[in-house]
Parts: sequence; structure tokens; C-alpha cells
Amino acid sequence: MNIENIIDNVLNYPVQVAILEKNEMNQCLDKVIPILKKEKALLELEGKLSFVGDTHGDFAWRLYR
Amino acid sequence: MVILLGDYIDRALIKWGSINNITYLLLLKYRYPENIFLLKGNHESNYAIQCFPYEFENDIIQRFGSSKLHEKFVEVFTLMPLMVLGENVFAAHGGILKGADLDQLRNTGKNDLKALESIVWSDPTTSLTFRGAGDPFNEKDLTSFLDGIGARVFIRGHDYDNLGFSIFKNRCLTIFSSQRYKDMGNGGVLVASVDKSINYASDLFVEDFSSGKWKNYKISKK
Repeated sequence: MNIENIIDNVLNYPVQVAILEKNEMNQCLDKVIPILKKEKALLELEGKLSFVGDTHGDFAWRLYR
Repeated sequence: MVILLGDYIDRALIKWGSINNITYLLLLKYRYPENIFLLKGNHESNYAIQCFPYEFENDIIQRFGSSKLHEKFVEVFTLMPLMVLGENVFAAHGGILKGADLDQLRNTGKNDLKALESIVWSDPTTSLTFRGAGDPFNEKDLTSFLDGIGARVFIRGHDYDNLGFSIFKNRCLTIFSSQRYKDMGNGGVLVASVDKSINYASDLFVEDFSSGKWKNYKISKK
């Protein structure tokens, strides 16, 4: 499976994040780095905003609709 | 748009919770970059200013057998943004940049050590949470900062003493969304939403998941 399929799989079935292997984790991080590089320290956003506080490894926020 | 206020790792309730949570969030960010924003917390700033407990590196070593992957996570952490300005709300993990105007916020470096410490480590002066770092802000610091950048309300996490309360003339709300802290402060596993211009923290629409279902939550003043 290529990394895009693996990512879709995890996003569709979040428990699958727990079985990612080291090289897959590495590829996932490589994917997101260029996106974060484009963001500035201050994000100026418009529209409806929902704020999630400290999650500390807990997934409860994910159930927010 | 969903904005997370930082502290994705450490103090997890379940084994590998930190790795799973941050990885899942980063994949959401990759797939929906304009819909989800991950601000940096003090736990993601451990490489610059140490926090306690920092369990994440050991988690990585235990699960993957080396700290190489941790180095890549740290690279990701160095790139995380620090602040959000919406229509008239300002949000960050812990504190503000006292005295800064909008231009200064726009030109802040993500890894400017002084800015980083103020933003990810600070609490209100009234907080009882013990810290070894940060630049505590009082009511006047906050209101003049918000007025100066055209914001009315500051939304933050970081500080369980103020969890679920609005303070400083109803212009600052502290929320956590981890079930671990649902009984601290005023309690709750909270998400706060805004889709219009508001004047006070109590104008935010807040929901609480601490019962296992999302329910409306009324903010109380401390």
C-alpha cells in the first residue's frame, strides 16, 4: 500500500494509527512538514472557529461533530 | 475550522496515547490543511524550554526502538504556529505577548525564545498552577493587549486552575479537552465555538463531553 492509501486508512479508521510502522510514521511526518512550513506564527482566520483545548493523548475531542 | 490549542502529548490516559493522538492530528492536518490548525503547547516546546513530565521521547524509543523518529517529531514541533486571530477572538496555548501590537504578532518568529516562552508557558497572575517558566499576565495586560489587536476574547488551555472558568471581566476562557482533567477547575472536556462577532467569553458556544455525550456547557466566572 502506498502512503496516501495508508493515510486514508488511518483517517477512516483512527484505531489504525496504533499499527503504523516506523517507516510509515516517518513518511507521514515528511508529508506534513511542508504544510506546516508555510504557516506563520500568527494565523489570521475567518469563518466559524471551534477551539479544542489540551488533549494530552486523549481522543475524546475527535468525536466532536 | 478547528483549532487545537497545543499539548497533544504526555500524560496520556492509555499506552501510546501521545503517539497516536499527535500522529492522527498531523495526518488530519495533511489531508485538510485549511480546516485544521495545530497550535504549539509547552509540551511541544520541550526542545527549547524543558517541561515536566516529558514522556514522549521515551514513548517513541519504547515503541519504535530508536529516538530517530523523535528527532523528526521535534522538527515538526519547531514548525507549529503559536497564535490564532479570528474575527475578534485571540487564541494561544497559555499566554499573550504583553504590549505587542498586530504588526509585532505578524512578525513573530515561531522559535523566538522570548515569544515562545510568553505564549506557551504563561498563566494569568491569579492562577494557582505552579510553573518554572512564563510571563504571567494580569487583567490590565490582557485587556490592553486584546484592545490593541482588535480582539475581545482570549481562548487558551494550559492551566487547570482556571479550567472552564471565564476571568478578567469575562474576556478570557480556559478550556481543556482531555478526559484526564475533566474534574479539575470548573471541570469539563470542552470545545468552544464562535461564528460571529462577540464581546465576552460567555458569548462563546461551549460544549462538554465529560459525560460521554456532547452537552451545552455554561461558563461560570471565577
